[in-house]
Amino acid sequence: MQDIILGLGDALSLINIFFVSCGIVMGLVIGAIPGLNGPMGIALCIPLTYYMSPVTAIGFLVGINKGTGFGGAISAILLNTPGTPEAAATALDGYPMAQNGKGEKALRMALYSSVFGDTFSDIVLVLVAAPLAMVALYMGPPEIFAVVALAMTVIAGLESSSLGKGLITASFGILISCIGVDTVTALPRLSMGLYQLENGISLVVIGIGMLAVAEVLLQLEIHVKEGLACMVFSKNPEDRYLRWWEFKSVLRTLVRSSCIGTWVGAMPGIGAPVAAFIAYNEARKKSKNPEEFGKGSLEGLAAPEAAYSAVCGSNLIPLFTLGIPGNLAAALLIGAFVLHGVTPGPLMFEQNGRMIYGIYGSMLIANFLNLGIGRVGMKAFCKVVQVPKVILYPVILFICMMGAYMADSSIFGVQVMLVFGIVGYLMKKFNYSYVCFIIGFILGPMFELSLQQIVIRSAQEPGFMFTRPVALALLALTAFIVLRTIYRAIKNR
Amino acid sequence: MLNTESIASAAIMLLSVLLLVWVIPAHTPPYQGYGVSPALIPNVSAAIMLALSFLGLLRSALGKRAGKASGEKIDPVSLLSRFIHISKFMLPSFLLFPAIGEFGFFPAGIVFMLLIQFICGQRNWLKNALVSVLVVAGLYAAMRYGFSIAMP
Repeated sequence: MQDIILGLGDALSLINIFFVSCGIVMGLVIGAIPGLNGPMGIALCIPLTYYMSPVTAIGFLVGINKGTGFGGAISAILLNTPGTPEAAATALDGYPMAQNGKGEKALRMALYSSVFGDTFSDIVLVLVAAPLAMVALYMGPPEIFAVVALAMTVIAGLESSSLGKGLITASFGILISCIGVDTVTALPRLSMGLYQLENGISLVVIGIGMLAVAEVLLQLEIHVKEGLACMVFSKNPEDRYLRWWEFKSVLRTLVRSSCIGTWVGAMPGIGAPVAAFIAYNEARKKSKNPEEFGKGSLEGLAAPEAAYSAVCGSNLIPLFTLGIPGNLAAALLIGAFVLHGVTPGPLMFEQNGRMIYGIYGSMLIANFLNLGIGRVGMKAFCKVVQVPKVILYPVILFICMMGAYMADSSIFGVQVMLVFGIVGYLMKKFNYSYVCFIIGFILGPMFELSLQQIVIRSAQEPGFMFTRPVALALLALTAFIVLRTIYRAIKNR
Repeated sequence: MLNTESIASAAIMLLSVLLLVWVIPAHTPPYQGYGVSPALIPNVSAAIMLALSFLGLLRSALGKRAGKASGEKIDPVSLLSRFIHISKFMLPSFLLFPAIGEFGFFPAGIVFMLLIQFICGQRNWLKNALVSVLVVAGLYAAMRYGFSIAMP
């Protein structure tokens, strides 16, 4: 109880509220710009959190993630160009509304739906994470090994165009995570004789390179010289404001979509775009007016917005309970946790209870701030979509360089970041998932450590693994997924 | 015409062979007889990469023979243009920090921003100069006075 009160007190401190607000504003700006997204913003801003307390740092980064939810909808509604991949479903009904002069109403609906979905999943996170973490505490190295193997296989299959490609990039990520000091011998491994590599490569440096620099290189290839023209808003109050009865009419859709988003978010690897399209489809199936979908339906706009915003909170469930990131944003949050000396996982509830409740408080406050800032600055954020790329991308590239320098405090870190920028660009160009790479990089050390523990224990107690039915069942499930994928691939040929 | 799937698979195969034959054996500590060998995870990862990329290459070759080639077709000229595109941005980026060490943060940062904006297509010199100076000065102020970080 004391942890809860102290944690909420931390969340309500002025400095925390200030930085969460800054995160939301940055998230709204980043999300509104087509080509930039939440994980990229988080990767760029992690170095800025060095001097913040853990609660403020995570609150700031979660604020960015929440802000990009509505930010992505701004360009989707006004330009039919989703600022983030998950906002693609929002454009289906948001853009037709804007074309009919109801751009402002569509933005308001998107904002309310986004905040609704976010708050719903945050409440589920608060209620579910602690009991799940209690269960997770009973997991030993065999179960952790099996869960990591299963998570990597599922993520490789879902995040990539093919399981094979996903496994290649996940293996490459694990290989890169091996650089540094070996856990058993305590000697440098794969450091190529470079002392700078003996401590391994920082996740922040890789994140900035693969997410931000690679995206800038890709966007600059398209070479759009000028920003895009924004839609004109109607002056008619009927087209501008959302009435209470209109919001009430979509309430059922909002609850259903938030449930879908929460469920999808809690499953590692499925991701927000999937949640948005499932929710859109379900809303159309259950709607009294399905013929209006695609022509500017409020339900069609509310469903994907609520669903993908709901992913934001629930993807922290596997992170907080097992230490396994549910998606890329959660993976980058691990980097921020580690920076502040906290290892995500079930022990966090025991060792850092106050911090956890502080983060919960920050997340809930972030939703109210998102609502307030979104409403007040709606028109100002619409201007962001008009910033010319010739100005925007050079500025981002320069910030990336400074961010990598801050993260690693060395020129070597900047060079590593640029190398991973090129690797990320090539991965995107050749359709290899960089998400699998980053997940492999994060889970690699956990995978190796649990394997080491199993082998050492098995040397003293042969057949030790056969006494762990849960681990065996999870490993069998992993093998089943791989074999089924191979069978399907052969059958399709 | 080259196939993107084949290029990627061949490159990964080459990298995996290089890792298995030279990098991992030469830069991994010897096995201490306790737990798992430090080379096991890197070797297994590289072997998975090798096996799956070989399968990818094989599938690409079989698909080509059957007239169902997967992946995009790309000509060597466009491949070269992509290489030039990356080099245009990466070369100044790699040189920025050595230049900062040589000439100082402001001159090197401003020249870098001018150059990158020019490469991006900014031909209005006034806008170019204004953005460069404001961004470099703003970031310096934020880092130095906002976050108390010693800039190079």
